[in-house]
Amino acid sequence: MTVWHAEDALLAAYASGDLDHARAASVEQHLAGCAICRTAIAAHADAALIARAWTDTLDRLDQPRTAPFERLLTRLGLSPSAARLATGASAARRAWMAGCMLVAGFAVVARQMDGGMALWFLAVAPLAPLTGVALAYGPGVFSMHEVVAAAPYPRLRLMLLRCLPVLPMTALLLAVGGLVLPGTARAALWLLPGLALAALGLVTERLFGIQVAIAGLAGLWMGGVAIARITTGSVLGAFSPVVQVLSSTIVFGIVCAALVGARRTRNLW
Amino acid sequence: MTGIQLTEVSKSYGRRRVLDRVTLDVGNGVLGLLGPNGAGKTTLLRVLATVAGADAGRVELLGRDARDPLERVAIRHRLGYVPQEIGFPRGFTAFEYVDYVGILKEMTDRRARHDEVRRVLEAVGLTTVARRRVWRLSGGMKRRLIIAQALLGDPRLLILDEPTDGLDPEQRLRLRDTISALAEDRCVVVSTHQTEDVAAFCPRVVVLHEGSVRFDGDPRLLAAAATGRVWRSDQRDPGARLAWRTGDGGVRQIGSPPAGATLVEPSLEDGYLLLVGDCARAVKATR
Repeated sequence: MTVWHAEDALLAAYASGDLDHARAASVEQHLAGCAICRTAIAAHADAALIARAWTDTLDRLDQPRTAPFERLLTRLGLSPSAARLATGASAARRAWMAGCMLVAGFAVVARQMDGGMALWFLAVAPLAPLTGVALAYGPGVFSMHEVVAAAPYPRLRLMLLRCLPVLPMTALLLAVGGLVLPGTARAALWLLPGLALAALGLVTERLFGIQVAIAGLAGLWMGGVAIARITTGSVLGAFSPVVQVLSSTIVFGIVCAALVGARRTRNLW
Repeated sequence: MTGIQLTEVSKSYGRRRVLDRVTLDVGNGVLGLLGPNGAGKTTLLRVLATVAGADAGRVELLGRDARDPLERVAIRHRLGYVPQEIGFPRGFTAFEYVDYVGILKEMTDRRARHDEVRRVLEAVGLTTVARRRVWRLSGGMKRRLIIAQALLGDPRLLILDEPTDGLDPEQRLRLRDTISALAEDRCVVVSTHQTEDVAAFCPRVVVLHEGSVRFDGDPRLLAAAATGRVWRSDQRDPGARLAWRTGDGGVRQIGSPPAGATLVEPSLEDGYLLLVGDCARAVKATR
């Protein structure tokens, strides 16, 4: 049984971290076996430090679990909260499936149809993933719709984030389709215009609201396709190198603006 | 900065007019919203939560115009909303669910957001089940969870669609207490089917019927409107507008006095039933 007790000054010095290693170690060892000194040192403990340690522990316990794809997105540079929105709600899985099926259906139809019809499907494709996901998260399907609708998070940005899980599978399917099926290599042409439309939507959503932004962009795109059909005689005109370059310029410009804006104001993504 | 200012707000779904020139001016405090099913309560609350837009009229929330997209975002930053239909994505824990809503409310600092999530879970008494999966929570816990997400970020405007629905008496009591405390310095609108909720904690009540405001004022005045028209007797009177058997074997009725009946003090429920009955008759008469 211990008869010696650490005096107050020693305990205070220990608590504030002023003791050298050897003395601190011996006080520590004594504290482990002496209830009286443990009680005495409580008065010297930094309450704020303890509270912080406690909430840190809680925070570690509360830490949301992350799915592998979510971690991958974070590693690719997305902020953790954006990655969460992209994959968090399990309805995302449904959106993912919807997107995949849409693309698979598109590939099948493009294969079955003769060239002309396949081209028209190609014309609609840039709008497909976006609307597919929008539908998957629409009222009546997505269980959190009402709560999301009342939240300030920009609708379109949220939609784009939710497109992320769909995109890799989409690209993969198209690549496979392009390799396997003769003539469908063109299918990949929609990617850049699709991204450009999505990025433009991101900008216009805040100004006009989601319906107007999507309807307007869809109208513009279809108008462009129709004009291409009239002037060049083929829908493929809408996917000309000029359009591809313009699309990548738009995407690049908006991404840069978003990055610069995010630095200046707050974390955009 | 005022809470809610609605001026001649109308909304239709197809040919059905759900809100008909609703004008309301609401400051800090609790406003109780009563009305039969289909009266337009949920639609009105969805308009107030910026989830639905009005077809006509002016919707001003927290001093900002809800029709302007940028102003709407500013409103949403200071708004808490409990929808009537509650749904949860499968697989989330209680903490993860509220955290997810926190991200949607653009709380970008992770640690601050987590602290806030713990605060609101504590406020509704769900700290101990924070790490439990949502689908394993009881109905009352799910209700409280949806209320917790509405409290994130200390909103100035709280829109609660039947928040006491599915809660047991003790939980309901505690929720009323929470809401009353919150309403001291913010604007809270609560829709409910429970007249006793309104009587218990709403200093002001609005009764909607077929999309129009039929009463707006002190709930005691609504009760007082039934003075002299509520009776108690042993027999059901066939001429009574409304009659129902009470627990003590008597019959409580609203309308003209039946023979041998004694006049009783009207409750808020009597006043409400009488008003809604009158409205329904008036509507029938004009058709």
